[in-house]
Amino acid sequence: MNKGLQGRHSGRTLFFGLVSAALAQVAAAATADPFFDLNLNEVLNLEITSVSKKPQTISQAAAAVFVITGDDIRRSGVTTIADALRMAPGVQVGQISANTWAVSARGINGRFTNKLLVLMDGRSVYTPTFSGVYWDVQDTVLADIERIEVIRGPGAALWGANAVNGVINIITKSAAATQGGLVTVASGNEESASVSVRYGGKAGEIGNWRIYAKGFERDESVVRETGADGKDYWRQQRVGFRTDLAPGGADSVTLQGDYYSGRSGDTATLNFLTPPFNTTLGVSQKVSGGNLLGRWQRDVSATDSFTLQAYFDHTQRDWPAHLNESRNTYDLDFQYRTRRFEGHDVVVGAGYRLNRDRIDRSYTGIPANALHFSTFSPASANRQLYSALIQDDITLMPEKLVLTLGTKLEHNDYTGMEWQPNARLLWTPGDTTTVWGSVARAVRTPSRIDRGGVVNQTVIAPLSAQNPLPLPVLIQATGEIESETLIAYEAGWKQRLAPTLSVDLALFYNDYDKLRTGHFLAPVCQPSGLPVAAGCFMMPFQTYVLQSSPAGNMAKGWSHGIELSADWRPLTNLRFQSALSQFAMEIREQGNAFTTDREGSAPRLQGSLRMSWNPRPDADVDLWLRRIGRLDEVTEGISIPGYTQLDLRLAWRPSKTFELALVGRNLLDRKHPEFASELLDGAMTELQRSVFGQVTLRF
Amino acid sequence: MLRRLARFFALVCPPMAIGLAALVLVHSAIVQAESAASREDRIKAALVFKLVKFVEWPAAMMAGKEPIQICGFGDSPVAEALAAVDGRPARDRTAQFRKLAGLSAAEARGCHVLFIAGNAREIAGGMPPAVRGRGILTVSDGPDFARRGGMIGLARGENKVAFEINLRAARDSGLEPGAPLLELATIVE
Repeated sequence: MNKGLQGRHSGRTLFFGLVSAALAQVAAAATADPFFDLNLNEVLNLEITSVSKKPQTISQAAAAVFVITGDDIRRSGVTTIADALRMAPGVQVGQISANTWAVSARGINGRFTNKLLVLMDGRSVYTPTFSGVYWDVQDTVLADIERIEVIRGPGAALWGANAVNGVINIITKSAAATQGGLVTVASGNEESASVSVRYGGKAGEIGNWRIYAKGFERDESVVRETGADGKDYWRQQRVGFRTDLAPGGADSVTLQGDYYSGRSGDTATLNFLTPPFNTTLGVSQKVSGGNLLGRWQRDVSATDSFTLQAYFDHTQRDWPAHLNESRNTYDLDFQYRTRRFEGHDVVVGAGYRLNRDRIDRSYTGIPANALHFSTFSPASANRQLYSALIQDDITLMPEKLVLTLGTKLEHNDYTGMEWQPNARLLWTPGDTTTVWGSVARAVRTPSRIDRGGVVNQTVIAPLSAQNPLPLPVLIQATGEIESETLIAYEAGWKQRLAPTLSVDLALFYNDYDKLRTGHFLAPVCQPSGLPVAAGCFMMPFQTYVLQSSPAGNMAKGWSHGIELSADWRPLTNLRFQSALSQFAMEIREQGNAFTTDREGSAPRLQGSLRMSWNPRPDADVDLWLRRIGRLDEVTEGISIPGYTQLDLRLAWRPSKTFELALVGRNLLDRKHPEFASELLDGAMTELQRSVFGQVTLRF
Repeated sequence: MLRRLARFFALVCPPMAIGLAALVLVHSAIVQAESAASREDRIKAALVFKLVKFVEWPAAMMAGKEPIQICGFGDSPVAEALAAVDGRPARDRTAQFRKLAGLSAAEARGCHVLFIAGNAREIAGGMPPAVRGRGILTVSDGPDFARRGGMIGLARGENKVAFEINLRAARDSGLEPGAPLLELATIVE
């Protein structure tokens, strides 16, 4: 009995001992910093500050992420952000004219690509006017870009609506990393002149600042059919600043802003209801804008942190025959992250955005009887967006298996509440292997043009090949659309095969529903409104035939693809980076509906191979070979042949503060086409071979 | 241009004022919250711990299976964050954290790695002889630490933490930094 008691006693001691040991372990685990578990390289790659919701090392992200570093940008010789994106797998970049691009991820490309979200230092540059990005005004001193994160696949659970096919995060360097002076001057046949000046200094003991100014002028492209001047010259001036302050150990505050103004030339196809019915005219878009952003990050404790960000963005664009737009965006975003619960890494957030715009017609420099291409109704609107997000990284097996569940809940003024959930699974069996899978839902919400917008697409002259009637036919799009939806299934594998060789493979299957479509109604004569079928064109006083095509959500689509990238450094001074993308898509339209998203707007195959070689530490030799497959149909009846292009950059640094570079772009052809605006609202142009010299001076 | 700028500022100022007011409000609400190691300090601490794997100590210091001693000196959130390495596996043994009261030879005896707070007065005039040439890897985030006789200096690079190695100081002390370390560091001497 005595013995029994003793046994029970020691059993209890053991029990309590185990519990306290377990509790101590739990406590230790809760306070343990996951940074200690990373390898040296990963620690060195951790960012001190980041605009992403949760900083992660790329090799361990459960997503198809590709990072274009500042060094990649410098060595590629590109002069615009849009061109830099060509380095990423799964991204389609087609230059339409000297100052317009079609950029998308995983297909459905166009000048007005509406399923790709683009952010610059946490500020959305996706325009809610037509959904899409005005690439001609997204710029900064390229040497100040730290990296561009290209996330293919939906990012809606974190970034919200319109992050359907992908998210592009352009992140500039902190002010601390851009101290001192930098002057870059470039000139060549296409890059007529470009000057950027940046200077950074210290703000006392608590931080750093930089200011910059940049101006450039670029040459026109040539019209595809005639070889004539494309009238798409491009001039822009820009100034900006950034300050990064760390007043206490736990706080970091960023304040930054930019102001720009310029002109972007364009050829506009104008339509008239009287002869000559159609004409193409060189016009000039006047653009200006500015933004101011403040961001405050605070580490509340070893496990908790938050970010509060506010920005104001103003854009102005006078685009003859299209629009005269003035837009102010006010955005406030708050995120709180906690790892206080063992095995959970939680982010919660809330945001508010107000868009105030006024979109009038613009007849600057065009005849007053030309039909205006687009009309917005109402002309002035306030649109609000409320959002909330929650995401939890749940560790199922420490350092091996992580499940991420998250959703964004948004309320917009067009379609009300939108629900965008995401589930991701990340498996890291070892230091060198990452396997992941994901299922996500994303939506593309309507833009201003999708609700109450009217587009006068074209006028077909009477008694012509397409129009046997004695009256001109006006093709006009109108109507209301709902959100387009996507369910995306993705999987990926990232492997470091050797210390010098790593590969990244991503597979996806996208299931789209309610894609935007138009469908033709029976044509009617104006002003009588009687159907053409009844012979109204024989009646007196009829001026034109209206072929109306209301917009709707009457198409479904499926796409799938494989994206492979590899990075190999056979020698310390030699590096190869390659990206290969395969893509296929099918769209099915209901009845006589036709979609505005083209399956043929992305190539079935595209590849890129970059070689970076330093024959001597003070010299760079960079080669970049790209092969882009044929675009079967960027818009009705227009295809773009496949092409192969080569860029070359040679640079020499006689001293640490001075660099001379010679860059040749699109060297394999005198000129080639890459894309055409899907609205056929301008002349199709071709890009010419570009050669320029660049001098960089640091002080 | 000037008028446009003026209009821009007229547009910008009210929302920024509201934003700033919100910032001040939230700040005052949580200013009492505990202040802890910032992200930068945590990265620095992790980097100090990672160094252990890539440095060869003199055989005498690696005899037996004694824990790797990681010592911290001075008032620094990095040193505090470093305390969490205590008990972690390091190479073929465990790491042990010890906070030093001073930079004397007696205090530092047994340390494999010594992190010295960048603001410590003791290193303002260069490395104290007590911790030189004794097989102790000295690390600090003080300005130009590696150029002034220390072995590894932590610095802020492009939004990342970078480090500098004074190879001569390390070798004079019988330490051999491994190739991966040299590849990633800026070698200052």
